[in-house]
Amino acid sequence: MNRAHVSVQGITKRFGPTVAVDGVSLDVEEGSFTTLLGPSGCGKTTLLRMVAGFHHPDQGDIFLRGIRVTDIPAHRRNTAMVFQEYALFPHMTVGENVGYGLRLRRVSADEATRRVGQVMELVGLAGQQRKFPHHLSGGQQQRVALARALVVEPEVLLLDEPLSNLDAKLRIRVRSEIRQLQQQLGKTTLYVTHDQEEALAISDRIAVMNRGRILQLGTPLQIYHHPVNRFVADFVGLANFLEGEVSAPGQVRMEGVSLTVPDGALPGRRVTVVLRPEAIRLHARPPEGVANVLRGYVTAASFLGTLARYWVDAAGRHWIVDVPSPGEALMTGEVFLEIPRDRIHLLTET
Amino acid sequence: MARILTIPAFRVAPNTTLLSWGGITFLGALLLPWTRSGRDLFTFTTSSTGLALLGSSPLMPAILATAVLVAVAASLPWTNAQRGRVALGLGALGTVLVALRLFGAGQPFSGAAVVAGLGFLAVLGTGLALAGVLRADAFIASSVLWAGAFVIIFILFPLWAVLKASVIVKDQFTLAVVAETLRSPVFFLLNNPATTRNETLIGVQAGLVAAAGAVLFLAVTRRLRQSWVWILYAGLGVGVLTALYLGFGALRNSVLLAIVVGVISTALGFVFALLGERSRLRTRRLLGPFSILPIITPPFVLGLAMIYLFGRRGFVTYQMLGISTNIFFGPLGVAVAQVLAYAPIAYLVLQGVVQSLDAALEEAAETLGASRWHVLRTVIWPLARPGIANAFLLVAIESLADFGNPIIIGGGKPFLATEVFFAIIGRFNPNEAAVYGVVLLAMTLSIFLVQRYWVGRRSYVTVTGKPSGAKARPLPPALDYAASGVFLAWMALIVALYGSVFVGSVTKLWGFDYTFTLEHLRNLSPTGWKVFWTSAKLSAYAAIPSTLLGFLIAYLVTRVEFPGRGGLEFGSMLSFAVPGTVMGIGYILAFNQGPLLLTGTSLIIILAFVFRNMPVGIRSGVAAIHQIDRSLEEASTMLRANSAVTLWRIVMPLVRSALLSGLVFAFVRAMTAVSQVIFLITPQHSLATTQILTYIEYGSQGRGAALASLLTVFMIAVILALYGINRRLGGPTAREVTAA
Ligand SMILES: Nc1ncnc2c1ncn2[C@@H]1O[C@H](COP(=O)(O)OP(=O)(O)O)[C@@H](O)[C@H]1O
Ligand SMILES: [Mg+2]
Repeated sequence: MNRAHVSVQGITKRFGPTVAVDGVSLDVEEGSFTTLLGPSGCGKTTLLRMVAGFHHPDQGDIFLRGIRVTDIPAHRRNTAMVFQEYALFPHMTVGENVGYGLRLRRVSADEATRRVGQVMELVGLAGQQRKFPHHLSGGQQQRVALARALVVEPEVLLLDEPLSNLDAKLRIRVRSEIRQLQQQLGKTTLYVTHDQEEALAISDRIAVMNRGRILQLGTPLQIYHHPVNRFVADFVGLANFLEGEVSAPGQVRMEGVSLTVPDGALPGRRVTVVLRPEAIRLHARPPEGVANVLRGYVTAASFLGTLARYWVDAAGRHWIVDVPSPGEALMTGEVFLEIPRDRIHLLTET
Repeated sequence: MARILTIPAFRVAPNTTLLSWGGITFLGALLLPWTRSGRDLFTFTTSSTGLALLGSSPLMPAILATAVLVAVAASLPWTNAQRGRVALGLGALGTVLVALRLFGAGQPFSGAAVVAGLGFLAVLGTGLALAGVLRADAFIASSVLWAGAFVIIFILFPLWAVLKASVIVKDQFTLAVVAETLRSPVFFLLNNPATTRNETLIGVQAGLVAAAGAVLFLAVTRRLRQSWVWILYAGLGVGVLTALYLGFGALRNSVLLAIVVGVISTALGFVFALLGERSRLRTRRLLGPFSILPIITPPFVLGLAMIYLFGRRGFVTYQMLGISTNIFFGPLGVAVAQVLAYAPIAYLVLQGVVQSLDAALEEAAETLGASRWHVLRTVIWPLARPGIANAFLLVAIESLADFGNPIIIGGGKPFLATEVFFAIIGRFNPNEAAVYGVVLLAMTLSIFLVQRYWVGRRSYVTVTGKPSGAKARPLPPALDYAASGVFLAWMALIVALYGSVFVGSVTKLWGFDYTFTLEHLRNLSPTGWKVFWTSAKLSAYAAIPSTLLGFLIAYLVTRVEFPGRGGLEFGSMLSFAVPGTVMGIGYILAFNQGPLLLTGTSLIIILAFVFRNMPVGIRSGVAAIHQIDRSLEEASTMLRANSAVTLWRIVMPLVRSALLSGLVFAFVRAMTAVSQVIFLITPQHSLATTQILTYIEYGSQGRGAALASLLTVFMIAVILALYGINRRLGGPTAREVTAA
């Protein structure tokens, strides 16, 4: 039997001619924070809503702790969702909002008040129960929504782009709060976002989606450093892509240049070399005794505080190179790119 | 993992919903009477309870056993899917058995039939939900079935009865009545034998001339090739209109009236809408009350006022101008009264159109170098065209369906809606009435379909265009003053008309003796007061179910996906298109005998009100529910609320002001309704509106005026109270909902 807490197996959902989710399988482990990441319209929300029970899959099944829940309506699944627009009931106070689920579970009034108080403290809004949602700021409303979902002690917490209505700074703060809370409670969480940085920062595991399919499932580090295809590499972080052919074991030749790469691909295969901008080192003078050095010219440079980003022309292509903690001056003119062999990721074309 | 899971698929606890319905059905079927002997709904015939019939009717044990089995199925430790499939079967079986019992006995239904019928439908609904056939919970599934059953019984079945009565006479299929009616000069006479000319020929000639004119015009403007169909339209249109104009009969009168009233009302409505949106003058503030008037005006008031001001001894015509004329008795008078009544409807439709005419579009066109006239022709007119067509068609439906004005100032000329009435009340021929009804229905229904599926769809595209920030530009002053002048003249006329009715209620004998008297008001007692309270009471009873059912259907069709959703929506909106008189004969034809006997009771009047006014509730419900973000309901669902709880705790509080308005308008519409209930009233259940008619036609106009005034004042008071309450309670809710 499947040990996963939430298990989605071969799920397909169509809306008329659009296939929103196309044969997706996914296991979410107990207590883990799993993120569905993908461009807008790729089916993340639809998948999440099927787990919540708001949509019924056309094919496939959903299991909670190995029990099939595909046909169980949303209000009888033990999942709780935080909506993008928070969906706080405008005609109820914050306390009534948070206590709503408890009331429906026939929790006694005293007990409900106590638990609402507890969870409000947990999300850092102690004593705000009497206010109405529209008296609160966006970030506070967001936390009320979280409190309302948590107070009923759901088996699984579902969040659909919960931070997209917050401004950039607040977004970063609230996301770390959500992560802390999740770890503190050990709550199995399924999170949806289209923001790759957010996904990398917050998740135990990320499922990268496109066009209704999951392309890759892995830890943030795996996704970032070992993307399975060009889409994932491109969507998560920045990357330089170079196409070439394996000429000999550990050697890729492409137009104008040949690189020493990690072993693995068979000679004769066409491959794509993926190079993260920060994987490349930049030198003003040719470095001694290292492989994979290219001569190039800086065409543009931009100072981003913690790093400097250079656009370099070398070997007949444009390269993006990030240099951490730049000093007082940026490099110009002739430069030398050093590409460490072990930082190269190869995609074998299929 | 020692946590105890409550996953319902494996729950073995009894299903309480199913258990309750099984119990209710069983008890109702056992203890309440199935049939009654007379019309009275609340007689308790002990001899027809399930208990008494158990031995004599073979169906009775089957029905009771089915109900018991439902309760058993609810209690057995089955999975939901198993239980659902069994409930589904039992519910369907029970419904069929109840229907068999009802129609087999052939006697008027009573309590047990209602309880058992609704009970088994609820079981069926619960079964559909549990078995997963409908992706909805038991409450929603049962609501869908109930709403569907109501729509079928109280809207579709009466219409079917009308259709049937038009071709089936004494259980025989015959087209004789149809042929007879359609050939009768009262219906339509083209070639009048009394005149020497040949009207058909003139019609054909006129059509040919028009077609030739169209050819010439298109040739000159060099559009002959793309626009050749217009030649056909012009020829046919002019030919038919000429023939109609020369002809006689109800068809001619009604159609011409509808066209004329539609054109004039739409034009006025457009002017008023421009005024409302773009005038710089204060007069525009009067548009609010003006648009409410037709809703709160009891029927006959305008007609009576026309008689008072412009009749043979009319105050304006006789007293002021010294002429005694009958000119306003007939189509002209009816047309004036209808324009007065329906221009506000056109105004309300066109208000949205004028609002959507984005000033930025006009500005954009002008910066591209277009002249004002060019802007009007190439930008404004194409955008406004669907809305204008919409307004015209809606007014045309109202005009065709209107009963009150033709009967009071029609001067004895036949109209389709009144002929339905006279065929029954005067000529005692329900089949002829049915034929008139079918003709009328065919016309209004086709207009309704054109409006809804052709024009309605087009106008959507433009109306949903997001308005830009550009401010609507004011009307040119000359136009502003001219339009405001028209509007002021209009309002003056309205004030004079209503005023004459108020004055008439305290005037001894209008036209002859203008001394002040309270005699008419005193004479309202006892009959006038009695019918007034009957009206108020029945309207109030009807307002609640019509609003609740309307909102429930609105919720179902906007938020739930189920097979037959389109059908439910269409069926329930249908009564917008069905003229009141047609629904009225439908009700007497459908509910006058057999198991569904209802005529002669106050319930049938209430039902007529409910299903007549339900579409209003549906419309405002749909509008209000669209304002609520769907995720609010989902949030509630996810926190373990079923649909009933979500509806009650989340949706209802958020739409309460719309709900209250719906309630009040349903009440007001019922208070002022006449055509759909005129056949249904009995001496015990006479209504204020029909009493006004009786007073005017057979008694004293003064007393009619008194009752009409009373009703008008009451309506105004009700509407003002609504605005007062809504201002206090509606404000924050509406704001919060949109802010959330
Ligand atoms: N209720 C719906 N009806 C029709 N199409 C839908 C519905 N919900 C989503 N879709 C379509 O399914 C696809 C996936 O949508 P969604 O799951 O919302 O994407 P995401 O959340 O990744 O942005 C989109 O093409 C969207 O237009
Ligand atoms: Mg989404």
